[in-house]
Amino acid sequence: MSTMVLQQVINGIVTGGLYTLIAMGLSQIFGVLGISHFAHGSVVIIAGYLGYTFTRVLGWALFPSVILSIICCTVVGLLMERFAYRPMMTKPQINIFILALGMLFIVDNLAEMIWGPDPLAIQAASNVPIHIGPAVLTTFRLAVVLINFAVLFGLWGLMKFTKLGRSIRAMAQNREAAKILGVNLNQTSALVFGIGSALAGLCGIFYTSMIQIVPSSGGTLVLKGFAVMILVGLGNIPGTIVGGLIMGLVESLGATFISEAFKDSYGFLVLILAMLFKPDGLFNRKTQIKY
Amino acid sequence: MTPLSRHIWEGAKKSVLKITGMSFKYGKVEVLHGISINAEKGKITSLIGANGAGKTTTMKAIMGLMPISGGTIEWDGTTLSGKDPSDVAKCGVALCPEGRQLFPNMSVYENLLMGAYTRKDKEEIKETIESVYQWFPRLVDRRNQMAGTLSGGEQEMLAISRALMSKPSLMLMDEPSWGLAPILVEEVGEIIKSINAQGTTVLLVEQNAQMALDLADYVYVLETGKIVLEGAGAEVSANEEIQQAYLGV
Ligand SMILES: Nc1ncnc2c1ncn2[C@@H]1O[C@H](COP(=O)(O)OP(=O)(O)OP(=O)(O)O)[C@@H](O)[C@H]1O
Ligand SMILES: [Mg+2]
Repeated sequence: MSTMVLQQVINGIVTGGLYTLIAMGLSQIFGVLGISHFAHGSVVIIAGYLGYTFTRVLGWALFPSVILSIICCTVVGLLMERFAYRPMMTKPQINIFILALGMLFIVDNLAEMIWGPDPLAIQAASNVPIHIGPAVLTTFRLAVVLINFAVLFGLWGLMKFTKLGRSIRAMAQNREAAKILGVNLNQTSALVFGIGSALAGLCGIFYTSMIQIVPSSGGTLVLKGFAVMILVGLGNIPGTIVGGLIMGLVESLGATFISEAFKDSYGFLVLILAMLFKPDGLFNRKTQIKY
Repeated sequence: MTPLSRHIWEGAKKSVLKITGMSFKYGKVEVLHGISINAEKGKITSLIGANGAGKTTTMKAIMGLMPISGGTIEWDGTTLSGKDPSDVAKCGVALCPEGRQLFPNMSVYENLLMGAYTRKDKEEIKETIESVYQWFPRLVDRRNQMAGTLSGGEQEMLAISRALMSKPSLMLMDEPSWGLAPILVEEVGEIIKSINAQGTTVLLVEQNAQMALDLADYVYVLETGKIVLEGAGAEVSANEEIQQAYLGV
């Protein structure tokens, strides 16, 4: 029993990191631009499917395939910002909402046309089991956790200590003031989408390597990302890390000890409870955007 | 008050702000109908007018926040109209906006750093911050406090300081006395005088007409998008209509 708990905690931490990756981009994009970027899920699966294609279909080496997939999905994210969202920014919010959902469905359908409805996976690079007491973690999963941490730590530093990060925060807190002081809002928007999409790409690669990808994975993942974002409040990097972990843990423990069938709903249950008791997000002192 | 170190004001060379026949539209509605304003180098020029006259619109248009629909804006011989705010800032223009517009969840220090956004040299920026701290000692103790938690007066000081961080030669100030107690209004008035005394040209927009008239070398009166009166500060103050309309005499 306790072995099983430990094992599920480890699994929860590993998948939780993936939710953090996707939530991070969503929360920055929403915080800075007010866009509910559902098509962020598309960016995730594009990276996953490209990673699959490069490694399994074309037989390329893992590392360059991963980098290339992330670059490609980042470009897709940037194109969405430039040609879909930006022209809509002056229109009512609901237009952007529908547009985002529309792009998610289009990519979902395209993926099914190209790669089919069956689950696909990337073969993980090295899968040597590591025993932690009675539980098992593979070297690949350990690497995923470590890479996640390094990337998120880097992002935190970027946001907190660099001029670039400061300009992103400035734009989130007061667009007009940022503009007055000379911040180029279009460039900063693109930057936010670029960073978010790259994180989503990493998420897609990890997800396809550890679990499996189907065309609808984009929608499922993006909803969990939004759940994490709402759970912790906007633009709070340490909070988003914890939120992702909570989501991962609740899911894997729920799936084992309650029922596997509802795996995807446990996180939302937590979200609903959290919203009842802390409507501004678990870690936000104010509703305002902060980093 | 300690004088602000001289190096902040190096940019303040001989210059003049020349607005000629400027029109502006929000969508299809024209709110500025060909206004002309000259702000002389080294002077304080005030723009007064009732709510909705178009004062803030004028300031935003000069800063390049919104494209104008007619006329030209020149500063120091350079055409500003058509430029982005970042390029306007690089020409030595800074706007201390209406309502302060601070970054509430950034520290005082970070707000100041944002003020120097268009500047590159980190060492020089640090020096400017030190000079600003000398000038506004109240900000020193609060340098790590979030701007949103400052008092109204402190927020105004920060807004002015942040605008000074770009070492402007032309300072556009939109209702700096907004929401301040009378004693602070006076203090802000002194600060504006000192900024100007260091050589910075000031274009001041005020609801508080008394303050604007007292400080100004030259005054423009804006009414529903048109300049209806202009003249030396003392002249305009003596005008009976102005006294009735703006000074409540
Ligand atoms: N974003 C906007 N869209 C449409 N009309 C606007 C907008 N901003 C201002 N206006 C209109 O333009 C006119 C001038 O506004 P402006 O803010 O420049 O006035 P102001 O002189 O600064 O007034 P106040 O003293 O109240 O600050 C007003 O009639 C206002 O309603
Ligand atoms: Mg105004």
